[in-house]
Amino acid sequence: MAHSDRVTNALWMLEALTAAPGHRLSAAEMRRALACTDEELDGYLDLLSTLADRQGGARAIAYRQGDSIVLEGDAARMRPLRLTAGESVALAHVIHALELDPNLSKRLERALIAPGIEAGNQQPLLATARTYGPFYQELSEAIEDGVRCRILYRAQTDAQPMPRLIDPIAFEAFDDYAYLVAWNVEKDAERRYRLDRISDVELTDDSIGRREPSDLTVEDHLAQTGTIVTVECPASSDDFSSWSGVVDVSPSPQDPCRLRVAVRVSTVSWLFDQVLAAGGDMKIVEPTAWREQLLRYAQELSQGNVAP
Amino acid sequence: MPSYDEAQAIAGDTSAQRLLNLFFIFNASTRALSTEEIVSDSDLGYGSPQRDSDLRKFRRDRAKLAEQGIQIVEAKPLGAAESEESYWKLDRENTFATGGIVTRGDAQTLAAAIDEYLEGQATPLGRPLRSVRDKALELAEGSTPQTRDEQTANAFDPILDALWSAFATHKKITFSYRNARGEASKRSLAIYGIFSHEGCAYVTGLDDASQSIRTFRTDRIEKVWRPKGTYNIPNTFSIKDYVFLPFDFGEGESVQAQFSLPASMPRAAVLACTHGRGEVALAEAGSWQWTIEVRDIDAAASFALSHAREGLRPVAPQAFVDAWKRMIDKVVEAHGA
Repeated sequence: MAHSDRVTNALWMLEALTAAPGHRLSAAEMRRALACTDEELDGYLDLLSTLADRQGGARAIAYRQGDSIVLEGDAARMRPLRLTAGESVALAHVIHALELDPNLSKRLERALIAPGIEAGNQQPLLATARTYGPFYQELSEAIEDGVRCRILYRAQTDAQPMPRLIDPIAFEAFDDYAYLVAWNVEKDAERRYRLDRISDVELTDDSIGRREPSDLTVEDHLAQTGTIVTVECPASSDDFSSWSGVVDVSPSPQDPCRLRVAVRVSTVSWLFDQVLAAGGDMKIVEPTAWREQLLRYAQELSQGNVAP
Repeated sequence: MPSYDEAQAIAGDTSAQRLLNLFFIFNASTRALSTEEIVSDSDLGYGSPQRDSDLRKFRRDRAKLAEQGIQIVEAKPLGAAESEESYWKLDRENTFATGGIVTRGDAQTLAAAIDEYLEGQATPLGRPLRSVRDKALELAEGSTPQTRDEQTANAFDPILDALWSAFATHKKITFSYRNARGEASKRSLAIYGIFSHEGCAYVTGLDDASQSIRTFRTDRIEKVWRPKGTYNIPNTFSIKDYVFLPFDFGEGESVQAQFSLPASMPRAAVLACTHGRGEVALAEAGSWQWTIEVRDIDAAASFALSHAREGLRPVAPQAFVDAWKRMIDKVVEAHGA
């Protein structure tokens, strides 16, 4: 462990003990918070016991009493510190990535963030490929307050954003995408909306009751609604390794160097994108109708007849 | 390190003692302290025969405390002449959090945003962000820091924490790494930036072995050693340039390629597709035009096809458009048309 980590932990102990009722915390609580052993906790107590101001006569008194850790006297009591420089940079990144309200950002800067670090004006040293779009905070508050919303949403196959009336329920995230889980009022069913594809949010005056998101996984959803499609690809391919709906992988009966992958698919366009991106290495075996549909689509795409 | 040895190391860490003591005496003092009072104090960890060395040590210690959020700043007493020696004090306003500004609602919004950000990704930002969340809630709700829950404590990962610590303190870190081909190597890296992509976290920085900027996937780091040796991050560095796309890897010269996306696509969706790389502009023709350096034209064509339904199309150069068409022809041929 680096010196700086030990200093961080010792400062945290002083903050925690100062704020605790009677300036006393259980040793178990401290061990858990510091992710350390009992011996290491004693090491920190020894470290704190070296703190002294010889000129002023003040010294830190922290000791173990039974199963508690106690801070005695005023000398080592400490108000909560601002964030460290590193924590401030991490926070500035999250504020920027989730496009949180600038007023909230300003309040955090005044109260908590280390001086000299501004949420919107930092050298970009941290990044995420996950995109939350500009409506995360508004939707978060709508979930919290139970408000029905009208959103403009452009699904993958839509040419233009279309309005949806929804009751927002929760957020989910997978890999590089963040989703709003919501009840689609017109469809009377739960749906997931990629946050980056929402182009407007309007809060209605309607209040809604609290709903819990269904605990259906992507696999469950595909099992309910998906069509089983068989594709063939080279045995060395890992193109399908990240797919959620794979139900079977076996050697191709015609070619031992190729695999047959049976996969549940709910969106035909998703599969076509995968097959096209493989540039002929991947082939739809069944159902035949999907093969024919793919051929028509590929030819139209090549001729520029598929509207973007 | 066995627990007993680590306990001894904590108790006897003279650098940590000196830093904590420096903060302690400034926090306890009601007056500014002179440079001489500090650097001559052997109890504090200075007071060596080499005064210049102690002065440099005091300067480094102030910088290390600043990394912890503790600001020791120069303060001249009223009426002091310019030539008089420096005095130092704790900048309490910028060191301690200010209550009454962040509301309970603010803290809860922030906590939810941090939880959302961390969901589904193991990242070196886990530890600092959980600490931020706890501190914001403590400040707004007046709760005590012991409310850190078990989930928070268990979420600590020694390798990710060490990477964060090295980055936050600008210290080079040495680690053993196994690449995608299973080859092991020992690297020393000055971490310039951190990003997450498809559920994995990556560190990018100056790699000692190759003397070039390299990116390493954190879940392929098998062991880390204690960071040492400080570095500066070039002010022209931007981690956004390293959030890779599938066409970034290739042997040939890079070419500038142009893609188009429908104008009806929300700005955030464009950002999700492009990862914020290259130049994006809304063209008069009613589409987003994305211009970016491409090292592998075939991979770029494949990338365009993988987003075809969203409306991503190749525009230029012609070799890129041809590669895209060739790829479609192969799909058609493979399906026996």
